[in-house]
Amino acid sequence: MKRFRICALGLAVLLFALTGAQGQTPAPQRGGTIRVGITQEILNLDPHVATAFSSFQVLDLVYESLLRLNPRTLKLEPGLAQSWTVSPNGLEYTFTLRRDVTFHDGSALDASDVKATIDRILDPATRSPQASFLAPIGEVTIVNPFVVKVTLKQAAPFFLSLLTVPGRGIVPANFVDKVGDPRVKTLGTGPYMLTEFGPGSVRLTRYERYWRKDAAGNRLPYADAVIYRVIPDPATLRAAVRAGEVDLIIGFGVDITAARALAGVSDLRIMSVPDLSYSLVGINAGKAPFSDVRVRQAMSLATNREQIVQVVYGGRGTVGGPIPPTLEEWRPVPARNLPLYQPDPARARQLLQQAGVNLPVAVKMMPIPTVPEAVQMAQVLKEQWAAAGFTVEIEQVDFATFLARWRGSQFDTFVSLNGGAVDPDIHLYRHIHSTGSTNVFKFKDAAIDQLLDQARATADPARRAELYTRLQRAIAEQIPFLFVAYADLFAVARTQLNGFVLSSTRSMTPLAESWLSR
Amino acid sequence: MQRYVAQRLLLLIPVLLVISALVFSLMHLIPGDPAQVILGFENTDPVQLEAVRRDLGLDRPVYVQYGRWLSRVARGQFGTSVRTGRPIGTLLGEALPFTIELALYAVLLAMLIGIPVGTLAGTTRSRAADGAMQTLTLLGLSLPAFWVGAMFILLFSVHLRWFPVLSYPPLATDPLANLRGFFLPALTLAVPNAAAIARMVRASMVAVRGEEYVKAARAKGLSEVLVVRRHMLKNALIPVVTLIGIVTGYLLGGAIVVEQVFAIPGVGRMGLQAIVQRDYPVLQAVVLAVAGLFVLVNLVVDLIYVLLDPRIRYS
Repeated sequence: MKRFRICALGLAVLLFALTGAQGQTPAPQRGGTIRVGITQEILNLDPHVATAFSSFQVLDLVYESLLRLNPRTLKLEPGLAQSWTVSPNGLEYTFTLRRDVTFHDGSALDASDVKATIDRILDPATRSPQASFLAPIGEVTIVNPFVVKVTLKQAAPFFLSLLTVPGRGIVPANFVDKVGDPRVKTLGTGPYMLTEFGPGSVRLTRYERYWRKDAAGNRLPYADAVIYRVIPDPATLRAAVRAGEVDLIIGFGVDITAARALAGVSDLRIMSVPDLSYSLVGINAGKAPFSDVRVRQAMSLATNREQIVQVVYGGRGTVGGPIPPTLEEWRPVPARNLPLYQPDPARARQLLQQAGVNLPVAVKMMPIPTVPEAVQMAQVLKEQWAAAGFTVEIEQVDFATFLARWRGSQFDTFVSLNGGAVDPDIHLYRHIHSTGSTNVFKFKDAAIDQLLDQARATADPARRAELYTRLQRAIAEQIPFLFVAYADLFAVARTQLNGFVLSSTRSMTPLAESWLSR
Repeated sequence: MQRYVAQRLLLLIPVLLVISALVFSLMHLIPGDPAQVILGFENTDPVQLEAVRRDLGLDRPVYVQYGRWLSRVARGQFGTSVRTGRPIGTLLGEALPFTIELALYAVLLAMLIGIPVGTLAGTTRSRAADGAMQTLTLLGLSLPAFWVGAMFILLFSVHLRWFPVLSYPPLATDPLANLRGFFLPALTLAVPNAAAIARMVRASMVAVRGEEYVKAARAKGLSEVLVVRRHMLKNALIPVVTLIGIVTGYLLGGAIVVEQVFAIPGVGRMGLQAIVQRDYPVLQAVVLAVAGLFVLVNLVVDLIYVLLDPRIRYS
């Protein structure tokens, strides 16, 4: 009898524990449609050609690459490749593909698709903006139907992290023949497939044979469909999530203003993480007087970055050094310890005098029109720089003009946002190296070039981290452009949306593991 | 009458030609390169840039580009959007119904509000009531649409929950939901136009108030309501019809702000995107469609004159 009581008690405790645990993390429910509100028009859906951020928000769920980035930890994980090996000289990468992956038309993924994808991106006729990222690739060989070997022309320790974005997503061989126009039709391996591309909205439907499963062995994704609605006006976007017309708002237009406006609304959850992307002041080092490093240094001393974080980002951000503060393993030097980071208008004036320029120095500043904070930042900078002997004239232009002038280096300075990356090479090389593909700053410094090249050729992570630590200081002193701030990213979800993780990379892939409670 | 309509329709061709030539050259005068917009931030290879420009025909002189475009349009081909690759005919077919419905709905609301308010103001003997209406209409004319729209959404959608935000089902499938969904955007668009119509009606009513035929109607012993309805309003409405015609045309093109605020994927938003992206063929098609509709609306207005005043004849 006594034993029976103990058993009953034990059972009760067990049951209580089980139900208690269930209350904390309820089991995901299948079905429903997740509605996402974004502000930018959805354009080209060809993964290798698209450039708009809004296109990638959709493509994230349709296409997959060989590897994935964990949206929380930003660490590499297997994707379409279940494993890989690197040769000792760091030049040969051998990928073993998963065998249970099919494209949305039911055809199985194999090594020829991987080769065809890389060939398509590198083919000049494709005009892929991704081509410059894959430039280290020399040759792709099919070892057997599920093993593919990529040989690099030179060592590139960051190579694996290049393979994690949908822009380098794997498409089937004969992709264009199969889909017709890849700008409006898709054929990927991702959790959702495109079923409707209408004016101002895109509808994705669950791919029933998607390969990934959750921890309990259930097939992903949970929701039947995902709809993206384009709501260009940020105020309307906020109203839409409040009124329950959309379940998640994310991307441009969802910022500190939205977070403040929606704070305390009971059925909404506000998420935020530090951004990998950073705001910058581009400087034309190919043009006098900005070609003089002392003038650029004066600009750095004239800038009160902390104040910008407070005024422009409502205190929700970090003063920006050359390496994102989220990437701990690359030993970012705390920004306050970097040279020329403490505002000092008097010393700035001194430097300008040493450079022999007449005061005040007239500077034109062109804020990018697609980032609302850029104009605000230009206004704050105008005030700050005035104290150091610069007179700033703000030039407001539209996006196409901005792009044309940016590309042609037709600017004194501009304010913009640069996309960040999880590897410091991808983060810095293309902008700062004298041969970098997006070095529109005309910046040239032999010592910095050498450090970047050396880091690129070094496989040992500890040695690389050391080189990047040195680079941070050199960049802070030479000033190819001003790293200003890493703002916090925001997203707002209705509480019925579960399992969505806001990632520093702005990835939408967590939607595959999100579900709606009813 | 039929000949007149045919003449007016023929007149459309030179009008559209001039407009298209103007837009084409203006568009090419503003700085910014569609090829660079297509390639985006990452791709700065000058060889690729040239190749894209060649694909788009942008390496040719503007008049050659215009000639090519014209010959294609004459054959009924608007081409594809350089940015999305979708056929422009399809894009217009999707976007136009939104804008046309929005404009017509807004005109209807503007008339339903503007005509009674103007009539009341023009016939009332109370100076206070007239003054109040004058102030209200001035307010209606001055408040910017983006603010009015945002306030309507906050009040009627978020707080009161009377109207959905951003729900525009097709009229054919669910007429009630459609009219409900379009109500707030149409009302936003209608506000300044209702105010303009009210002011015009008031002024016309004041003008005809002293006319002999009005006095005669009163002398016959007709009730005041009948005098206003049958004699004053009918004559006062002729200039108002002109105004409504103009307003309708403007609404078609001017729906940009309201489409932006209410996230309606109409031609206004399509045109705005085309400008930002330097999507020349799309912008050309949008301008042509809106200009064509504008001319057609004006034709309809001229025909309505005949119905209102039998003395007007077209030949």
